[in-house]
Amino acid sequence: MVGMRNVEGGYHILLVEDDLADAGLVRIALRKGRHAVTLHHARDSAEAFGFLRRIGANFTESPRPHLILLDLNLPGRSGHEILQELKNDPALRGIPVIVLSTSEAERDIVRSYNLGANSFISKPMDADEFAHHIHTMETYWFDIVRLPA
Amino acid sequence: MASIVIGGLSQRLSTRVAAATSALALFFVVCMGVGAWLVASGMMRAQVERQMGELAQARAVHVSGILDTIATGMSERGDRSVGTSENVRIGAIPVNVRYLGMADLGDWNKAAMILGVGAGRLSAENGGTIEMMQAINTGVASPSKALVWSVRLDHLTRRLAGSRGNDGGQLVVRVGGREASAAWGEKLTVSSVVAEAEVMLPNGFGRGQMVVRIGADAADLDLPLGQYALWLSIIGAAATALAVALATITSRRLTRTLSGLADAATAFAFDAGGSVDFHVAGDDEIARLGKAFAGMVERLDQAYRDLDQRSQALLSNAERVAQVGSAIWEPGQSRQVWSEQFHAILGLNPADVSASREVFFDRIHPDDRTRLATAIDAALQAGGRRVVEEFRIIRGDGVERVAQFRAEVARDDEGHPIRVDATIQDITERQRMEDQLDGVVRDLKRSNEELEQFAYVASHDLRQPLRTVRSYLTLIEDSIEDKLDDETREFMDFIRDGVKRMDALITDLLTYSRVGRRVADGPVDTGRMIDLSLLDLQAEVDETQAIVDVPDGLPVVEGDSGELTRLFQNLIGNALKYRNAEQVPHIAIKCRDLGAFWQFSVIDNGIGIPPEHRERAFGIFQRLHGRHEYEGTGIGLAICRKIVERQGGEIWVENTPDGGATFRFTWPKMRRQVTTLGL
Repeated sequence: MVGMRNVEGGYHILLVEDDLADAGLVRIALRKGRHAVTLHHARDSAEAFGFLRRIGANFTESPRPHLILLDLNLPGRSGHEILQELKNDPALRGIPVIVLSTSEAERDIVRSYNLGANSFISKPMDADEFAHHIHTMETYWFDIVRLPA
Repeated sequence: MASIVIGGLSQRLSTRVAAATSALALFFVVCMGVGAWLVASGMMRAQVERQMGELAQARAVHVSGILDTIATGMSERGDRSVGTSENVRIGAIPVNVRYLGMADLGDWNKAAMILGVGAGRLSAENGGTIEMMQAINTGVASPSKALVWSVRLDHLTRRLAGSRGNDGGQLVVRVGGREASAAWGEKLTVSSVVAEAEVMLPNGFGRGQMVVRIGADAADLDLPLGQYALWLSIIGAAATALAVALATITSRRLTRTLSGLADAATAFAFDAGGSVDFHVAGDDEIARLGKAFAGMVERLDQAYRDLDQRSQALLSNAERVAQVGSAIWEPGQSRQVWSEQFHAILGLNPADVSASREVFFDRIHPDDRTRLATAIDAALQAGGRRVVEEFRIIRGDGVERVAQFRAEVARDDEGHPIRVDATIQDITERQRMEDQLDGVVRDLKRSNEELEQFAYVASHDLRQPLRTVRSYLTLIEDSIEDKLDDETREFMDFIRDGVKRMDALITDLLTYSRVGRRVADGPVDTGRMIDLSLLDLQAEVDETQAIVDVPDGLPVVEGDSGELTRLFQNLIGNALKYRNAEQVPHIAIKCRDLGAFWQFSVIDNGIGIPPEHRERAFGIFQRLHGRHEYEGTGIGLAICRKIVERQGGEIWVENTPDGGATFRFTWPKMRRQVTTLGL
């Protein structure tokens, strides 16, 4: 079940996350943010690539996201595998991928960057802190950084 | 080669002895010969002189007799007329007789005639003629006429020659300052021995002298001397030859025993094997030398045997204790030399088998034979050198053992293999233990991997629900802020605390489990580690205004920098946390050199730890104080202990005299053998 909401104009973010609670935290944080962001939520690899490549009935109109927020701990194919496929696909390679994980393990961080992740954020324990992280991320990626049109 | 030299020496020695003896003999022969020659010739000469003297005397008597006869014959002659002269023979000697009157006396001594005394003179006629004058009284008182007879010397000598043998001599007459002589024979020479005898002249002859001088011919004297010399030479030569022969034989005999001794000694010195027989017969110096040699050889032999036995025993003991058997063989030779232990490992009795390649391979498990043989052959090839192979032995009792074979090939200067030195060692027990250890290692590795998996799960999956609870608790609080009463707010704080503590416990457990994992041990400057940990504790230090004494010259130790920082951070952090509220925290860090260890101490003036709780303080999640007093999960000291013990050190706590706690830990200077397991 894809929770997806299209907002005209503004930014599109694809969140790949199987934990609905965490997805909710992201959504709430983004809602309180300064930018008009449409959050597309995929719960696993299949939904994510379906969305990105417009495969399947639900994704015929899916937009190309400006950012991808990727959890590592996913059912089936892991976040690392998704990351690898994203960065090996010439059409998708250009989309910045921010790994958003509960893991603080060094090996996960190293591996993510080695596979081409653009950032690695450990999910904070605290909801306020979580929101703060998301807002900082918005500022960075949407105000400071220039993204491809 | 040595024997040739020895032979040459003995030859030379005997020749020299023989030559010396011969030369001595020759010298004596020559001395004896010359002496004998001198004595013999002197004796001969004396003998000849004596005989010739007698001969001369006999001749002289003979001449004297003839002259006497003539004189007597003249005296008995009848009167003749003065002026007559006649030749008569008296005693077969022609004599001229003349009668002279006083007037005719001439130069004869008239006085002598008047006195009736005869007178003689020597005339030079016919080579020397003796004349004698006698006064003749013819009835008148005074002489009126004289008779003069003359005999030629050569007639006299002819008579001497005829009368006696074939010798030779000379008749010499001196009268009145005249001398005449006549010789007979031809043997009278200057060089010959000459004897003289005076001839008695007839009465009235006057002052005259007549001698018979005879001499032996040189040849007569030299011939016997020559023969004597010849004999002497022959005897001398024979004696010399005999002496040389005897000397040679004697010296040969002497040096034969000597050279036999030398040969035996050489054989003993240079020949490894074989018995040596020294000449010991007899009682002379050589025999004594031989006996001495034989004694020395015996003692050497005994010493060698003792040494051999002792070293054999030593080697045998060493091999038995080490369970290593050794063997030596020459490449290509079947026969080998095995030590006792070599036999023992193969399960063989040295008395029952003769060590050989075949016997050896017979004991090897059929599946291992080819591999071992190939390895040995490869080592014998050019460039090969060592063999280290493990193989199975099937002993006579059917027991299968595992052994390690090690061999080294010795080569000559040209690289050809000349000897193989091999050992075998029974490694059955070792291998069994290695197998066990491998199993333990595998188990540990697996459990380690599981632990790692657990750590990962703990870090991620266990915390995830906590995070959700906590996050949504915040969201709920935010959304119903105004509807909460105090009690509900307190409940929600409890939930938040529980979640927080659970998270801390998980995090600490994870930290604890990670001690010793993924560490990089190396030289670490402890002073620097303390500075780093103080930097992390800066906030607490500032807040409590604590005084921290860190000495200079802290050592560099072996360890992981992250762990050492954490160790000091935990200990100093503890000292700050459990401070005495009534005084300024004072923390002193000290280090002592205990030889094999460094001993570090962190001394504080805090609340201290009751003795009964000292051991408990290092337990995992052990807390000595209520959470309302001091925060924390109680993992800090457990982590410290794990870090210290991983390096082989110890950690403990003592009371500081003024009430605080002193944490001490030792840190080995020599790095402990850290297993690859990372435990």
